[in-house]
Amino acid sequence: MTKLNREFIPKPFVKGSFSLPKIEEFETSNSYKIIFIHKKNLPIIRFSYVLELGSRFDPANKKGLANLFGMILDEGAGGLNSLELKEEFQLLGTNFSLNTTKDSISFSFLSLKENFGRSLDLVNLILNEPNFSDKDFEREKRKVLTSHQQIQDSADIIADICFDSLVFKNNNYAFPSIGVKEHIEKLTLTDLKKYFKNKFKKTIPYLIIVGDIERDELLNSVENKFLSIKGPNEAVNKSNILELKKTQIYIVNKKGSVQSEIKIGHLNNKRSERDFYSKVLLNTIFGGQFSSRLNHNLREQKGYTYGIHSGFYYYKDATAFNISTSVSSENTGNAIKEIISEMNKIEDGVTTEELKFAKSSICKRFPLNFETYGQIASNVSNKIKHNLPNNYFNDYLKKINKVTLDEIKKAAVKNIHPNKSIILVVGDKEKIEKQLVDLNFGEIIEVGIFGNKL
Amino acid sequence: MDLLNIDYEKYSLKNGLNVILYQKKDLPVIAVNIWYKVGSANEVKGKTGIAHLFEHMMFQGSKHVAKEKHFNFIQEAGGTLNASTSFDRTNYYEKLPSNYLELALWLESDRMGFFLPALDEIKLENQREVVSNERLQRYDNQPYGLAWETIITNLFPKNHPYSWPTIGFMNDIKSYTLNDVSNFFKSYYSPSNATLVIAGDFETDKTKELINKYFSEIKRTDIKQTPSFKKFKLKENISIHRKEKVQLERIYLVWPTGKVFTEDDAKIDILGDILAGSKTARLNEQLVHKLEIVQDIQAFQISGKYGGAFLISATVKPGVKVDKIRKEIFKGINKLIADGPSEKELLKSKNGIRSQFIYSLQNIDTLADQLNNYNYYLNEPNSFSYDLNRYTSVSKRDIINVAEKYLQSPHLELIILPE
Repeated sequence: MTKLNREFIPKPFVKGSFSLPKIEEFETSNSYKIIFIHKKNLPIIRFSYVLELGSRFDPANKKGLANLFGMILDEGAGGLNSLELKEEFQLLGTNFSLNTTKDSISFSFLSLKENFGRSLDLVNLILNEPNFSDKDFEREKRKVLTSHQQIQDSADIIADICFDSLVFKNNNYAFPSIGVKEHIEKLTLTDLKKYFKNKFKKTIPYLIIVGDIERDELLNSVENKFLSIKGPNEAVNKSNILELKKTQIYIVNKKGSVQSEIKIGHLNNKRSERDFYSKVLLNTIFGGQFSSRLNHNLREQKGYTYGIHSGFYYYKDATAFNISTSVSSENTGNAIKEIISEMNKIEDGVTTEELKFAKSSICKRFPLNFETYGQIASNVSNKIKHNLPNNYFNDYLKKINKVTLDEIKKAAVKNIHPNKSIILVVGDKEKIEKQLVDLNFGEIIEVGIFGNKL
Repeated sequence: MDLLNIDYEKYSLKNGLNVILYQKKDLPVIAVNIWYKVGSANEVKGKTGIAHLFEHMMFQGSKHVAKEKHFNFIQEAGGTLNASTSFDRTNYYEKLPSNYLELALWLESDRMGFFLPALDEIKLENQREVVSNERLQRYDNQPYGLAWETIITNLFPKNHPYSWPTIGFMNDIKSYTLNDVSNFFKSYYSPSNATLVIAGDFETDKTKELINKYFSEIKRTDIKQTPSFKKFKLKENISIHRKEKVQLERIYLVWPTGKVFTEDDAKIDILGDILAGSKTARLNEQLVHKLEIVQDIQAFQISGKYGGAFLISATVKPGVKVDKIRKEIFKGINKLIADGPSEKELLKSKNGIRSQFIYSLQNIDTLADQLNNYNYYLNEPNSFSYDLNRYTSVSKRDIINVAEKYLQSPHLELIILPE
C-alpha cells in the first residue's frame, strides 16, 4: 500500500442543500401574534409564550417584582396546588419552564405531540387562574432571599451583576432580575396580584410554536385556549446612559479567591441593521469563538486562562460590549494588559485572511443553528425582540458576505473603546491590588457585589 | 418504539479501529465522534489528571496540522467541536456541514496516527498552565467546588480507579513531562482502542473509502492493561467536616453502588428521582416545600465501568441545624423502604425518562455520542430501546429492594461549613 500524502488538506465535496424552515405568522382575533414553524422529523412540539415584561420594568422601589412574580405564578392554578400542578406536567413528560429576564417573562415547554393539548391546558390554567396563595408566596419569597444571599459565593455571578450595574448606572438595565434585598423583603402578595391584573394580563404576548402539528389544528387549539388577553403593550421608558470619560478600574474584594474574574467593556449602541453584520464579524475575529485573537493570545500563547470571550450583549433597548475571563491571581495585571492591548490593536482593522475566515465560519455554520426545536424557537424570539425585518434569516448570509475590510475597521473604531472602558475585577484585593495599581489607570474604586460604592 | 430503533452499520479495520455508521439526512450536517477507551481510571497516583491533560494536547497539533489549526480548520468550515474526559473514556467530536466530512477524517486520523512528531515542551508548558487555570476556574474557585474531590478520595478505597478526580490534583498537573505525555499516547491511543462514529448526512460507500484512506495505515500498538480493582463496601460510616468560603452549610450523603448497566443500576437512578429528582419528589416536598429547612436538595447516581456512588446533597437554610436535615433525609428513606413508592411516583419518573429519550434525538452529535456510549458499555450501539426498557420495567418492589440494599449500608457524610 502506498503511503498517503497527508500534506494535502481535503477539499469539501459539493455542498448539500439547506432550506430555512418556513416561518409563518398569524395575527389572532385577539390581536396577539402566533409564529409557527412546522417541523416534523420527531413527534414533539416546542411552545413558547413571551411577554415583553421583564425585570427592567420593576418600579424603582420594587426591584425584584417581576422575578418573584415569575416564581409564584406557576405555584398552583385552577384548583391544583403547587406540587399537583408540577406533577401534572411530569406525568405528561412535558418539560415546562417559566423564565424571567430583564426584557421578558416567558413560559415554554417541550412536549410529545400526543401530550401537546393537555400541556396547553395546564399553561392556560396558569395564565388565567393562578392560585397566588399566601403560603406559596411567603415560601418563594424566603427562597429568593436565600438565593440573594448565595450570590456572594460565586465570582462569575458577581461579575455579571456588577458589570451591568456599573455600565448601565441609573438605567433600569442596571439592576439584576433577582432584585434588591430590601425591596424583595417588602414585596407583598397584593403587589403580585396587582402586577398580574394590571401588567401581565394587559400585555400582548407572542407565541412561538415549533413542531409536529398541522397549522389549522394549532390555530384552533390556541385560539380556543387564550381568549382573554387584550390591551396595548406599555411604552418603554428610555433613560439615557452616559458614556465613560476614561478607563476606570473597579474591584470587588472577594477574600480568599484563587482567581480573578475579569470583565472589561462599555456601553454600545442599540442593535441596528446598519452595522450589525460588521459587528458580528468583528467580534468573531476578536473574541467570539475559540479561533479568535483574544483566545490565541491569552490562552494558546500566554496560558493565562482556560478561556476568554468577547461579545456584544443586546438587550432590547440597550447594548453592552464586554470581554470576560478568569485568570489566576498572579496573572491578573498581565491579563488585563494583554486585553487592553488587543483592544487597541483591533482598531487598526483586521487582515483579509481573518475576514475571509470569519465569513466562512459564520456562513457555513448557518444550517447548524436550525437543528433543534429550541434553537429555532430562540432564533425566532430574537427576531421579534429586536423587531428584525421579515426577510432577516433569508438575507443574513448575503449581508454578512457584503461586509468589507474597511467597514470592519470602522466598526472597531466605533464600537471598541480601550480608553473608555470599565475594568472590573472580582478577586482577592490583597493579592491583586498592586498589579492593578501598576496598570496606571489611576485610582482604583472598590465596589460591593451590586456595583455599589463602598 | 420505532423511533428509538437506530439502523446502524458496524465494522472494524484491520488495525482494530471500530467504525459505526448511522445515516440521517434531515439536515446537511454530519457528526464525527471518537471514543478512546481511556480515562482517568487508567492513571496512577502521582500522575492524576494526565488523561484530561492529554485530551488538551490532542488539540495542539500533529505532524501535518500546526498548533491551533485543528480548531481553525473546523471553525472555518462552520463546524463546532470539543472533547471531554471522564473516569472511563475520552471523547473527541465535531459537527460540520456534511460536505466537510473528509476534513474531519483527515484531522482525526492525523492526531491518532501522527501525534508524537509534533509534541514539544512549549505546547506542554502552555497546556499545563491552561489546565491549571481550568482547575482553578471550575473547582477551586467555585462554591462547594472541591466537594466532589473530597467525596471520591474518601469514599473509594486507596488505589481504586475512581479515587481521584479526573481534572487531577494541582501538584500532579504541574508535574507532567513530555515523557509522561508520549508514554500515555503510546499506551492508549492505538486505533484498536478507539471507536469512530459517523452520524448524519453521508454516502456510505464513499465514506467507507475515506475512512479506509485515512485510518487504515495507522499501526496498532499494544494497549496497557486496564486497571484492576476490587468490589468494596464501607465498613463503617465516614464523616468529614470542611470549612469553606460559602454562605450556607451543605450536607452530602454518599453510598457506594455498582457498575453502570448492571442489575441495580437503572433502579437506583429511579430511586434518586423519586427521592429528590424534581421539585415534587419526596425529599423536596418535605424539606424544601413543607418544612423549608433546605434551600435545595438533589439525589442521583453516578456509575461507570468500575463502580458507582449514590449521592444526596442539600443546602441548609440559614439558622437550621444540619442534624435536623440528616434526620429528615433518613426519615424519608425509611418511609420509602417501609411503604414503597406510589404508582404515581413511578409513572412520573418513567414518563419523564421516556420523553427525554425522544427529546435527545434532536441533536445529531448527541445521538453520535450515545451510539458510542452504548457500544462501549454494552457492545451494541442500538441500545436505546433496551436502555429505556431498563427504566420502564422497574417495579415498586425493585425500589424498596435497592433502597434497602444500598441506603442501609454504611455511608460517607461530608459537611461543608461556612468559615
